[in-house]
Amino acid sequence: MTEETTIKERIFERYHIPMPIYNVVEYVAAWARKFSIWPIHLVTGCCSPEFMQVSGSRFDMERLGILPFASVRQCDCIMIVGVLSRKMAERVKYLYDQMGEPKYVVSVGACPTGMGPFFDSYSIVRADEVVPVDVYIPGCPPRPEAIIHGMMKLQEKIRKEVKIGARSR
Amino acid sequence: MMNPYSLILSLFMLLETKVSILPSASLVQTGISHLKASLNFSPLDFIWSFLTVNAKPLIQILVIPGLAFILVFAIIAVWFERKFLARAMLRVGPYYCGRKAGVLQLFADFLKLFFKEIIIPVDAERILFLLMPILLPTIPSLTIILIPFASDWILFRAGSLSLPIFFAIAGLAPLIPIFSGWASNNKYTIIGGFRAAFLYISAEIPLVICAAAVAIMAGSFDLVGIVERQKNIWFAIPQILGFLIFFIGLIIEAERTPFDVPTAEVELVLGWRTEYSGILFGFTMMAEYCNFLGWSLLLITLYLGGYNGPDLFGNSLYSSMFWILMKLAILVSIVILLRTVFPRFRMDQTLRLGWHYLTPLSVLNLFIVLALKTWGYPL
Repeated sequence: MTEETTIKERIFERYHIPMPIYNVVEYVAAWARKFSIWPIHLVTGCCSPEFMQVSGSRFDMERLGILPFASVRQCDCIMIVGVLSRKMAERVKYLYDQMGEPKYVVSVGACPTGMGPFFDSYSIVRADEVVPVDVYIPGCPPRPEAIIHGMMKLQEKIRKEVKIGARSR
Repeated sequence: MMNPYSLILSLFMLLETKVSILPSASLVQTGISHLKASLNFSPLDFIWSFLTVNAKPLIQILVIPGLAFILVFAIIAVWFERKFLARAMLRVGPYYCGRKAGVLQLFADFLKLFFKEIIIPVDAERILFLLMPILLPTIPSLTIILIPFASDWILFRAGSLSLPIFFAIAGLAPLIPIFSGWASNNKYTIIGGFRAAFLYISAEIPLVICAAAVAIMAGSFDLVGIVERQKNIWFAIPQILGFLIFFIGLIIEAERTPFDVPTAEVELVLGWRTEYSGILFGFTMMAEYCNFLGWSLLLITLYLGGYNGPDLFGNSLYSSMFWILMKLAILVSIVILLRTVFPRFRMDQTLRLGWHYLTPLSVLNLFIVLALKTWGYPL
């Protein structure tokens, strides 16, 4: 398997920009990405009341800089909230393709994580059969604290993947 | 404005540095050295003298009311809006980004947008699609150069043409949502663009009539003259009707929330800015606040006494700037408060407001002003 490089890495190699500057740029970008995750929500099931509460007054998600958004093009993160049928899975793939590059997926609830109560259904798929999932939030439904904990885990992941150079696209 | 001779001299200086490297061009070099002896400058001296001679226009272009002021206004206004909205909804708002109260939140957002991928749709008209977000903040920023921040602190002194020029430049703004909506080649963007055009048309006519009433009352089209006539009493007091119409028209022009029909999130995805991703979307957001800034500065100049105010620091320049910025801050927070209070108007409701109520009322305001003028109100 050939080693993949990012466009940024290629630009830095081509113009002979030294590695420390590249690291600083990556660090700053990761800091910015960490504190401004704009999620779009794909709400199909009954986890949605818990999800609504996350941006409500008691569990305020905007403290972390997470701003729920209406349009896909500007977003960084899909939150799949609720059960994914086979027909809906196509739409998830479509949404994922429409987003710009540093993009993350969070599966909220038992259904997109591991099919949950519909484990023996013929028409339900897991989220990671369709798109690469970054954070799984279990629970049926997960409490708002659990969702915020999951988003903090995503922030941690964004910070760490710069350190070890895990994101290769 | 900038001294044209100094621009020519700076070009000449560039030429000189290039030519003096070449040994063969002796003829040119002697000519240059002759000039050098006669003008007696070295590059450093030249730069220093350029900076000192043109200090005022440079500060006006770069700091206030130029680039830095517009950028800082956009950043502070968006941060304040998010925080204020959150407090009105009993939330905390941005908190963890930065030392205190999420002050670095907007820098994080901007940097993230800067490092994000820009997607150009296959069907889009590439050149227009990429050009429009650059034009977007430029046109509202051009209107700001006409606003007097103090009696002698104007970037572009247009004299008695300044009010017509303001409306001429601001009248270009509706073209851009239409063009960008058309260039994106998406049904939501096209609907949003045409909605924006409808809104601008319905708001611009009452705005122009109100501004004409102000010009009649002040007796001049010059923004400085209009401000000077408000030394004793603000025009908002005799023309309270015109002031309210102008205020509503400002909110419609700036696409703020009670009238944000072109970017209605529930009906059209994000209106005419649906397809813009990454930093292009950042430009469209900045343009919204630039537009808002330009119109609210005009409102302050026409109705709220502009830079007039009691002398605080013993220096008329500083105190006038302080007063105009204070008035701006209060106006901006009132408009943000309206966003928290009111739901969105429908498209037809907004148009009916514009055509059926604001336009006749502004004509009535014009007649009131004419009556006051004939009875000799402002003597």
